[in-house]
Formats: sequence, C-alpha cells, structure tokens
Amino acid sequence: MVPHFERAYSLARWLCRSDADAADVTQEAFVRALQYFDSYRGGDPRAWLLRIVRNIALTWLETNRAAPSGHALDERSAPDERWIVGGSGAVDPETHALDDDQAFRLRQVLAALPLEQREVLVLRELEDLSYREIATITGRPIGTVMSRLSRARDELALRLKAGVGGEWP
Amino acid sequence: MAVNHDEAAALLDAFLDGELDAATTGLVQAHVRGCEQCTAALSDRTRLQDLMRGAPLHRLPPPDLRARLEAGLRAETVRVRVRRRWPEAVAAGFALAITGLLIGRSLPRPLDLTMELADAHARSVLSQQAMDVASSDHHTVKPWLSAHLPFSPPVPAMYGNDDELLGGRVDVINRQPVAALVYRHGKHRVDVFVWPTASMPGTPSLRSGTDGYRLTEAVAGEFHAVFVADMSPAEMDRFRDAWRDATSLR
Repeated sequence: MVPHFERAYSLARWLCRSDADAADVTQEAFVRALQYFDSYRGGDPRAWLLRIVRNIALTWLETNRAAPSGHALDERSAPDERWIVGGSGAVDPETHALDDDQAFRLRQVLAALPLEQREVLVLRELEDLSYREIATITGRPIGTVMSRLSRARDELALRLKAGVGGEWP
Repeated sequence: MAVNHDEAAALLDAFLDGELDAATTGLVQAHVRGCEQCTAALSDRTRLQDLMRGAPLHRLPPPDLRARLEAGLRAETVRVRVRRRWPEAVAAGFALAITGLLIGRSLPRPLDLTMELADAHARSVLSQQAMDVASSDHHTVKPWLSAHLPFSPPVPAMYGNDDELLGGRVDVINRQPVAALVYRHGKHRVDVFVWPTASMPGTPSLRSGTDGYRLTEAVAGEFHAVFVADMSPAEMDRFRDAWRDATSLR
C-alpha cells in the first residue's frame, strides 16, 4: 500500500510542477493537517489530506504567480527512477508499456495542460478518486467535475496526437 | 426509455468511470452498442485511461523529505499542545493519528450506521453538492427519487413558516441506496434519510451527538426516516414531528 505521504507529494508535484515547491507544500500540508485535525469528520483520510494539499498548492501558486517561472520540467528524457507507475489501475503492463521517450512526452503534455484540467485528470486517473470525492477536494459541484474531466481528456488526446513522439498505444 | 446520441455522448466519460446509476448505465450501453461513433469514442477514451494508469506518472518524494516532515510535525505537536492546553492524552492521540496518516495506515473506519449517516450529511454540506435534484416542489422531487431508487419515498412538502423543502439526492448507506431529502429548518440544513423498513430494519446503533451532528428517527408507514442536522434536541424533535405529520397528511 502506497502511503498517503507519497500520494500527497505526487499531487503537490503535479500542481506545482517543481520538486522543491512540492516538498514545501507537502510539509505545510501535514502541519496544517495536524492543526486542523478537529475538522476531520471521518471518511477517507487520504481524500481529506489531499484536499488540504490542493488548497495549499493553489494558494502557493497564487502567491508566486508574479515570480519568474522556474518550472523545472524535466529537461531530458533519460530514465528517471523517481517517476513510477501507480497501483491504482488494473492495467496489463505488457499491453500498454511505454518506452522512456513516450513516458517523458506524456508527462510533458500533462504538465502543460491548464491547472484545472491537470488537477482533475490527476485526481481521477492517478489517485483513482470518485467524482464525489473530487468534488469535495476541489470544492466544485459534481457536474463541473464531470464536464471538466471530459474537456481535459479531449485536450490531452488532442495534444498527444498533435505532438511528435510517434504512435501511441 | 432511451437516450439519444447527444445525451449518450455527454455521458460517455461518466459511463467509463462507473459514475452512472444502474438504469442510466443500461441506457448508455444500449445506445453505444448501436452507434459506431460512440463505440469509437468510448474505445479511444478507454485507451487514454489505460495509458495514463499504466504510465510512470507518480513522482516519488525526495528521499530526505519524510525525515524533515516528521521532525517538523513533532515540533508542531508540542506547539499545538501548549497553545490549546490539551490534556496530554488527547495530544498524544493526535500525534498518533497523524502518524497513522503519514505511514499510510487508515484510521479506524466508522462502520456503524450513525457514523455513516453523519458522514453522509457532513459530506453533502462540505461538497456543496447537497442535491441531485434541487426543487422546493415535492411534485418534482418525488418522481425524480422514485425514478432513481427501487422504492418511492414519502416527500412531504412542509409549508410551515420555518420549514422548506430544498431538494433531494440518492445516497448510499450501509451499501443500500436510500433517499436523502434536504430541508431548511430556520437557518439549519436538515437531511432526512429515508428507506423502506423492510430493506434495512431499524437502526440499533443510532445515537445522538456524533461529530456535532444530532440524529433522530421516525417511522412513517412502511418507511424508516433518520434526521441529521446541527440543531438542539428540542428543534430536532419539533422538525421530526412536523415532518411525520406532513407525511401522514399527504
């Protein structure tokens, strides 16, 4: 079982797009979780924690919008053992295995999506959360989650097709 | 009943994610089977989902982050304890719970009905998604619920000065679909969970005061109703009695 700590970091990393910022956001989120623990009313502790991570990451992005972007997107497509496959989906690895270049390109395209689309895709596909959980985490109605996710998938598919990087499985 | 092409196309993502109720799932499935365009769209979507789920998209934290985090939390636990003058035991339990979050062990999940109902209420208040159907007209709310549930719950309108029907939604309690009616009582939000007594008899563990919410229950004909709100016991009883009266006047 993957610890919540790693889930929290992964979400922060996708929202902030930098390792240094994600580390700061994760740290602040856990401190905040400790302070707000009385607001925890049962339910999935992971969703509760991810909601805190998400709010702190968005505040962080607001505050630092003016700063020159030092987005540390990967510069090269060399294998990086800190990018791993999550355990959420029952996907046959043989059928859909990507080579390093494809994985690199997919990460780049996902990172370049608008924040709202990136967020909903990460929560749904990487964290495997339900629409209702995503609605709670993002503070949006379920209908908005649904339409945003649909647009995000359209956009991702479009950008993958438009890009170079060969055939997609 | 059937869905047309545009309706089905708009529901494809929710269908793929297993977010539709059984009836709608059946309708979308029936349409997709006979529609080449939707079949192709769905297979594209499925491939995209598999692609994301099978790809290395999870970023591992830097190796030293966990140690930094734990040190920070230990310091914070002490600060919180001092600031709030909490008894030692509470602060200790606190730190333990957070450690539980950290190392990935789930907190004990509340399994009894009281907790589940209070959670469902809290979730709907927090998520701003209190209602699947928002209407103060019980002639709108009741048919909607009947169409989405295996039973037809009583939906009294409650035309009192202080009481107003706001809408309804389908919730799942104890792995069973139940009707959740949403009312306003003064300034309070009240959820009334309704199910046939035959499907889930009684609520043996029902007790009040969980997590700051109060619960009370009533029997209306063949239905069981549980009221959840953040109100005084006297207000809870008043609302429950008014609701039960309105049900029998129907």
